Amino acid sequence: MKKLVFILSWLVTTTLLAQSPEDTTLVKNFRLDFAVPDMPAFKMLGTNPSNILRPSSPQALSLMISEFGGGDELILPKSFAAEVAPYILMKSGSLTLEDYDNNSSLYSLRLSVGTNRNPENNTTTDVAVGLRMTLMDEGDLKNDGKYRKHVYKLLDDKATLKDEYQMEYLNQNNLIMADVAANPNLRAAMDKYIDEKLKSEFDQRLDTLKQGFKARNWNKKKLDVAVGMLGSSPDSLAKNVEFNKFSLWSTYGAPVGKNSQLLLGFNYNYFSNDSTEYGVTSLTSRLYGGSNSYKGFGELQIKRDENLESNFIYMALGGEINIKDGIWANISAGLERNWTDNNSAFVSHFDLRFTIPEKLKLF
Amino acid sequence: MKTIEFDPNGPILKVNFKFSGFILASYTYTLWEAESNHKVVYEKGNNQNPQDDSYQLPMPVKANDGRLIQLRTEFLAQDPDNVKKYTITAEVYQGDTLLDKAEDQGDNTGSAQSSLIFIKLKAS
Repeated sequence: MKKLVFILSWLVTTTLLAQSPEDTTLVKNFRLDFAVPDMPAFKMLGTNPSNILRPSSPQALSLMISEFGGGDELILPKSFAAEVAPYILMKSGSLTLEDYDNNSSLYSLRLSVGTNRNPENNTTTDVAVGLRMTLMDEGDLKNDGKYRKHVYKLLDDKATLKDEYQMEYLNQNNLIMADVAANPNLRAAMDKYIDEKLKSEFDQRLDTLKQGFKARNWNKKKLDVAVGMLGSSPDSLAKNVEFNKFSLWSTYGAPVGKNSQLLLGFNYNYFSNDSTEYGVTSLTSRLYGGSNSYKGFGELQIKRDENLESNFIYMALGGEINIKDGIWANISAGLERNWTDNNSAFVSHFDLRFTIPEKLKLF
Repeated sequence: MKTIEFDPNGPILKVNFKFSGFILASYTYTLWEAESNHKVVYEKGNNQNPQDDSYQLPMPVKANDGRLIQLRTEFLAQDPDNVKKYTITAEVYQGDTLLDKAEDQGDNTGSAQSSLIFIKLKAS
């Protein structure tokens, strides 16, 4: 418990100290394309009492490890999950705009696989697979026709003006285009002339346009759905897996004022084994505030467990911190109360998430 | 600059422009007269609809000897975090046969980017 409090204090302190002045720009930092993915396979492993699957933008490849915090004790990580966006990986650099427009749902499709070794016997292994998709994303610039029209117009104006300056350069220097095209030095000189004439006006206009649309779009409506199944294996090699849990998630995100976003989540888990079959249903709400790199949240969850014939309520506070390019920490702590039996338990969670760093070029 | 040879007595010449790497691209296509700054063709377009990014070169076919194709593209990557590279291609066809192509490849930055491709046509 003391270690957990220490980690929380350290994260809050470093967060406040590390926040740079540039992080005050709402648009720049609180992008709607949530940087931390939530993986269905990871959720299925049950390492976190929260059952909400937050909406996220697809990442070609991402990774999560957890079980640093199991209840009130810190232990070594036992859980691992990886998620891939198969369509993005498959198409990569050959993806055209038409491909995206015709397959935007496929673009958002993500497949995750996770494993979790039972800390009690250290041999039983849980294996989970999950699939998720974004059905609605009003805040995504990629889907905004109005934004696209404006960008085309700006790019068209820029190309046209460049052609005019090109002709001006040729006339001033008594050059023929074919000669310039064949001579790298002449071409570099012509490009320099055009760039100097053009200045950076168009790039600034494009940036302003982008930021303006992001400002209007950042917390627009979003709907994600996901399914998953979990199996257990009697050995650490994950052989002879028997699937005994099936899950369904749906999460809706909507703006609350200008600076916050509310998530409403539904989750249903169906358990089946030799002796029993039952369902567990959760309704969760989570309110986010902060910046993209540093954000906090409050959460309230109601859960019905048919097997225990009990109702649970879970209240938690947490935060997400972008430690470094491609590395995120997610921490939360709260109280879970069995409303039927009047029992309460303190629950904490900490995980690390990895995505391909923005500066790393793999594809 | 790439030089592409064609048959002056063959079927009509055609140029196709392709844009991949998930970008929004506006372009201008210029066909320069041989040894001159006269623009035989000047067209504008974008990659919203790839079906209209194909242009037939003027007839007679042999008149295109020595002419220069210029493709100027201004573009913006839509998801540079996931789709890291772009490719802009200009293909020259004679009839249904692809004679050759010129490509410009690079990294997507997420800011406004430019590309300039030249192809010189030569009668074989």
